[in-house]
Amino acid sequence: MVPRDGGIFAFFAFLALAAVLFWCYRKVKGGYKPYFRQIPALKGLEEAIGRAAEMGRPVHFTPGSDGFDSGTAGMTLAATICLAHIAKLCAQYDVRLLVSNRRPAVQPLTEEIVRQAFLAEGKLENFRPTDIRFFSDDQFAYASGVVGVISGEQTASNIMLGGFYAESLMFAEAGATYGNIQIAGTASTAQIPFFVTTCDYVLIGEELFAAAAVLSVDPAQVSTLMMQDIIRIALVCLIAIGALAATFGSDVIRQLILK
Amino acid sequence: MNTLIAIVGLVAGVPILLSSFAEIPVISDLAQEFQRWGIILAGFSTFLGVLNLTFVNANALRRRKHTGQVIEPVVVLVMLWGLVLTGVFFGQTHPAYDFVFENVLKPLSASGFSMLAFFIASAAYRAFRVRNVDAAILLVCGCLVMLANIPFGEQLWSDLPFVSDWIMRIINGSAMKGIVIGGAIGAIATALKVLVGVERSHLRG
Repeated sequence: MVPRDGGIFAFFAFLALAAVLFWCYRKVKGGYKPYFRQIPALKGLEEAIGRAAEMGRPVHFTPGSDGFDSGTAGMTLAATICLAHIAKLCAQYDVRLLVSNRRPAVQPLTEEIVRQAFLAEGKLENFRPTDIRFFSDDQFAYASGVVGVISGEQTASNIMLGGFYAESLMFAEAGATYGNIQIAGTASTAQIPFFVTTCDYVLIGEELFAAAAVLSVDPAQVSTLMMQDIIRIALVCLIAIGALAATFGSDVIRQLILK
Repeated sequence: MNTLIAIVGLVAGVPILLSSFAEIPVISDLAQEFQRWGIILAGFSTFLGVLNLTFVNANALRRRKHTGQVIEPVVVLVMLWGLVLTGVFFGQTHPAYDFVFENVLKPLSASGFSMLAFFIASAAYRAFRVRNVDAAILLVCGCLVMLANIPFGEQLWSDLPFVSDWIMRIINGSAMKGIVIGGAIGAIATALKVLVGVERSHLRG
């Protein structure tokens, strides 16, 4: 067994993470209610879908440009978790939901999520498999497809969650041009400014990952949010100690992380 | 069924996770094997994607309200299946395959990318309207950074590149690093939730 560079630290950090998660789970299960601030974008989801219901027009959703085989797969996963909630709301309000995919591997998953959500609400007859669309693996072919859906189907709301690249602004501008309520969420730092300038609500960075847990009342979900806060405080302390150590000429924290 | 999927996820995920910490012969081989299975599954899903594209466009063709709506789905179907059949029967080095790639796909992609300039201008106009204090700060910082990036910016004010660099490196950089760290913690938490089966909403809708 040969540890990889930084592997020992990563392994113990992972164990610590799991231990903190377990501790948080026990605490939440025991009745502890942690305080979480409201995320406006999540309130905006109901507003966006409600508006589409009032206007009798569809909602558009895209889980972004990433699949499940890259380092940014977490964003796609978080987007699909939120899709389950969005599809449920659409089924409740009898709103048509259009989903646009770039990665073929995401296509069957999104189709099944939407189908199950409509089935759970007893509205399977409203589910159309052809509303869950795969366009192309090519970035701008996919972008053209999404812009075509927003303009051609006259959508009332445009929800973009996941990993995005240069196409993000094309989607957001198309949605703004056609007067859509727009909700975006990504941890791609280069695309956040585009979304902030063009969308009504934005889930910035970790808010995308926290969204699923906030939407849930399940203790296991709530405990992961609590774990994220504890880990964040620990990381800030580690960064502060590292900065102090570096100021006094010591690279002890750097060496520890590289082990 | 969902429990079975969660178990499969756990069994496939743990070796891949362990192999990222250390090179353990059996575990690493297993992780590589699972990654190969992932590639095979991705191949199948590509086929499903092509079928979906065909059904959606065939549907659009069937439900057309006037003849103008025929062009788009016909072009997609002809190009899609034309390229698939050319690639399958004559290989990807066939001149027809190259012709479409070089003379259709590449120019269209370049056009798509170049359109971003117009979208950026329109988004900048919307963002730079001074409606509140935040928008005013954004406007001032944006103007300083843009001026520093044009050839005569430095001639207007010699310290402009320094100010721009300070805004990008200190203010923008620290905010971005905060977002990146938060995003990484969130991604790890999501992965952990899926791995241990706490998160199953993506399996049941």
